[in-house]
Amino acid sequence: MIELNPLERKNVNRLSDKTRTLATQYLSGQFRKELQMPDFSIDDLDLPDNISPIERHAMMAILIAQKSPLIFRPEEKIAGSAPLIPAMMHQVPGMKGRYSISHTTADFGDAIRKGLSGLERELHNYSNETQEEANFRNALLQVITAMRIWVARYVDLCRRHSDSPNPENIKSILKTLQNVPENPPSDFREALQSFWLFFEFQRLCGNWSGLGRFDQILGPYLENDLQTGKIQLDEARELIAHFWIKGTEWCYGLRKYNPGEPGSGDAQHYQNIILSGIDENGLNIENAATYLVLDVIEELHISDYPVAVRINRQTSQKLLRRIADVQLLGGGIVSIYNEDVVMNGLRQMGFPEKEIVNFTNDGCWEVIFPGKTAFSYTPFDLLQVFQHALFSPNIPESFDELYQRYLECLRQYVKDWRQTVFNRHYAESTDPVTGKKVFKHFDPAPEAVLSLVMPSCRQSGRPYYNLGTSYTINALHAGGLPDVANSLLAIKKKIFEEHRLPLSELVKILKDNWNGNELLRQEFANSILYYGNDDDEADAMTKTAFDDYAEIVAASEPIPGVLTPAGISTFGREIEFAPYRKATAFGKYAGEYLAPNMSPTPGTEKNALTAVLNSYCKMDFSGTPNGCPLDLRLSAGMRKLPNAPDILVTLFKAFLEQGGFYLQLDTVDAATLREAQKDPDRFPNLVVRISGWSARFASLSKEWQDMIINRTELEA
Amino acid sequence: MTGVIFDIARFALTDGPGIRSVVFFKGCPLRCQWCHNPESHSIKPEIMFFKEKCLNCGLCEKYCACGCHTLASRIHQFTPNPCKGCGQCAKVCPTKALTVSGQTVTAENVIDTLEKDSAYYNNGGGITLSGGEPLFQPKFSIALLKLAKEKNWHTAVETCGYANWDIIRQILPLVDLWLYDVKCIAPDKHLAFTGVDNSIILENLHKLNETGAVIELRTPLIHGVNDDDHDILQLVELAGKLCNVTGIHPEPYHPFGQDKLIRLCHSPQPPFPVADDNELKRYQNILGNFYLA
Ligand code: SF4
Repeated sequence: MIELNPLERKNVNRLSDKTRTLATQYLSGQFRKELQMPDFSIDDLDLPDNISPIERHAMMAILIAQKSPLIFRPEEKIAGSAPLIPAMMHQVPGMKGRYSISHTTADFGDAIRKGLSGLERELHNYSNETQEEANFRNALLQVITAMRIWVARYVDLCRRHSDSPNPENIKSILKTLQNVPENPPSDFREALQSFWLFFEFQRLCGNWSGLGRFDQILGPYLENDLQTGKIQLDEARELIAHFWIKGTEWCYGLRKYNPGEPGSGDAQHYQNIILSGIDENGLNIENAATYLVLDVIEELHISDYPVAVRINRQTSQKLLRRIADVQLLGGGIVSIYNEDVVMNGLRQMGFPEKEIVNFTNDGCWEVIFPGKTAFSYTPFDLLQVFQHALFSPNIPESFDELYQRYLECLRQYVKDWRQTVFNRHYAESTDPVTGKKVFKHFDPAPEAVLSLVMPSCRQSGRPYYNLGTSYTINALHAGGLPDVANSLLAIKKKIFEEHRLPLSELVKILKDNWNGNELLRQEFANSILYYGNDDDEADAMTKTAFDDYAEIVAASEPIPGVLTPAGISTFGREIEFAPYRKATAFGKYAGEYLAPNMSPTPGTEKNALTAVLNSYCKMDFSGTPNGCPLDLRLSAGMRKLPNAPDILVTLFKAFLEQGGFYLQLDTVDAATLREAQKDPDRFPNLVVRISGWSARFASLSKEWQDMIINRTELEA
Repeated sequence: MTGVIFDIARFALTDGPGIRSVVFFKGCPLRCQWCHNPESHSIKPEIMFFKEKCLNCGLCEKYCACGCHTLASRIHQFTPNPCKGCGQCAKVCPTKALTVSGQTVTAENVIDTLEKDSAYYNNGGGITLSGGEPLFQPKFSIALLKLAKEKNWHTAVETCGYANWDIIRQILPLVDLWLYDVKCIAPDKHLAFTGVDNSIILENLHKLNETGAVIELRTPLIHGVNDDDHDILQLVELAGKLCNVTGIHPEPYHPFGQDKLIRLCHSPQPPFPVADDNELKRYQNILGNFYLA
């Protein structure tokens, strides 16, 4: 038996051996040598000089469809592959240096239901009001042609394989391809194949769209087939497993072709999936597809696609339990949204109610609407903004003065950012008649392939990048907010309340990275409870910094056609930020890795995990409608507690009840334990399960720590 | 109403069902040689010294009224003998190398802290009084449990059972689950290793069982003391006679109490051997249906 997830508590073994073998082959990067550089380029085409840029892009799609290598393994239950290296590297194959689109989610449900023929009819039904619209819609029709060419090549290939060892499978695929993606699917298998082809073609052309609400899209087909007996659960699970396995086709590819890239093993391409949550009628989506996806993740432990489940107070106990089971496998593949809180933020931003219920996410957790959003974001380091204020030449006389100065710096930053976003979407020119300055939209990269699966683009007659989607969003994501709050708290208490030393002196000490002031550093670090300890004073300070950040972004001058919501995240950038950060007043040295996302600064959480969750939940997330995640780490040994899933379910419920936003849970691995051993102050509340009892890891002697590390390593 | 505790642990997962907060009482009538929490023995506040964190700055020496801290040859030495547990040193120590174990707190204070996690007590969780020995401070225990019951929390009490029956009787209606420690059935061994006779403990256990209270037995299993087949079988036999005992949770010995003794500047006890996985399996096998994970 193949060991796909060595961390499994129980031996999950629902999939066939064949499928498990295929998964190991993909996940070990065995097929990466099939990834190729295109041997064609846009220059091969003899295009008229006056062709519009968008139609030029569509012609490229046709060339890709005609020339891209086809990969078909007779044991695979789904046809279609994207083996082009530029696509894997976020570029349009054949158009050197042209970056493609990521951080959005198309409306694949709509595309599947209509099929290529339906999309074609729809495009013909629009009346084009300008030449640009006509060019655009014509380009989309060309993309439909491209997909037909590409699919026809697969049909051909399958026919040639019909004497392979798997004739039954090939017959099924051929039968499926006779109907989809051309027409609306008649059953689950067709719907899944159609989904894959729409997804895979945009991927082949370099785009990295998310997949959206998988169970909402496919559940009805599956439920119907199950009811009529057309398919059994086991077979449906196999099919979904193949959808997941094929998603990892770029596994290890980046590492091979881009040696600078550390590479995570899996295909980290921000192609997210959402499960559950309410539908237009306010009813929770929980169907066979929801559970089969969780089954597949549990068994194959494939971490890309990242899956987020939308939960609410009505989410069934059964689903919460399943999420817990899968989360306990470690790796943090499945995360959760508290959808009532997310939707409340969207409501306050003014989105219509029927839109709100449909939210999905992009590459990480930024909230968007599928098929309707052109998304980008600007990450920045709030701690550097604060330190700019703190280290400016005149030392503030009071805490209030310091705080106001920080807010000033933040306002200036937000203003500059707003200007950059504006410039990205609008070009300044002079009106020839009036001589007045005007601002015109402009289209930085005409995009036809993804625009086809964006209903809002088809309707508006404008491409993705040219405000064609219903919403164009550029979100601002602040990193280091907890670090700012902790700095403020330390200065307020130690300098302005206890008068331990004048601020000017502390500033000098911090500039000198606490050099020669170890006792003072320890005092600042240890005598105050910071964010993440459920301490009212620390959390109030954090809340003030949080609300003021949200308010400043919300008050930013609107950009016509572009929304600029706030979010709080680091996306792992605490590592990138580190070299630019000076020492902090709460006892950290310059260059340390500080708070990830909205999680406490490592080492400052001296209390239990529930305290971290409580502190986080005190924030008002309606101010950060674009996302504000919390990472919680459970000890890997918790898996062994017989009631571990119940404990997670209880945590989820408290997270809902207390109004959290987005939660990522992980269990701890040996590498983390080794770090914790080297640097116990960063992991003071890491509890490890030993054998019939639990202990705080930092409190154990070296010998015992070694033992536990050793054992965790053996587990893995 | 005040009492003396040495810790409140939140997100505790092994002291009763669900997610719990555990109040650790200070003061215990037993002196088990393997004790995992030696700081719980005395009801008086005690200083714990974490040598590895000390920077030898001398602040503690300066603020100590009893002369417990000296910095002879620049190395900080702590002698707890004349210590009154005033905690001044812990207050000034910048590195938290010194902490006070034992705070006098009001029941309301404790409840406020427990309240912070009340959202997690649903689904079977709640609060647990542990120690040390909660029955050693009966009035404080009753006060806490009454307040907890007003909030509808599930309550558990972990006790060694060495108390006047009257106390147990008073607390009884306020407790949903008893985590009852039986260290050993053989009276001579019990006396030798815990310092007290176990007849009152076993008698109380029988009486408790008759009241219909829900009881989970907990037994520290110490190699060479009370973990041979015969000892464990005696436990099983006892549990079999008590209709309200749901099972026996074995607590294998670990040597972390040793570290704590050093931090308390007590002389460490000779350690017991740590049971390996085979031993744990054996415990589980003998306990059979009574085994509780
Ligand atoms: S105050 Fe703390 S750091 Fe300083 S000598 Fe005493 S124990 Fe050591």
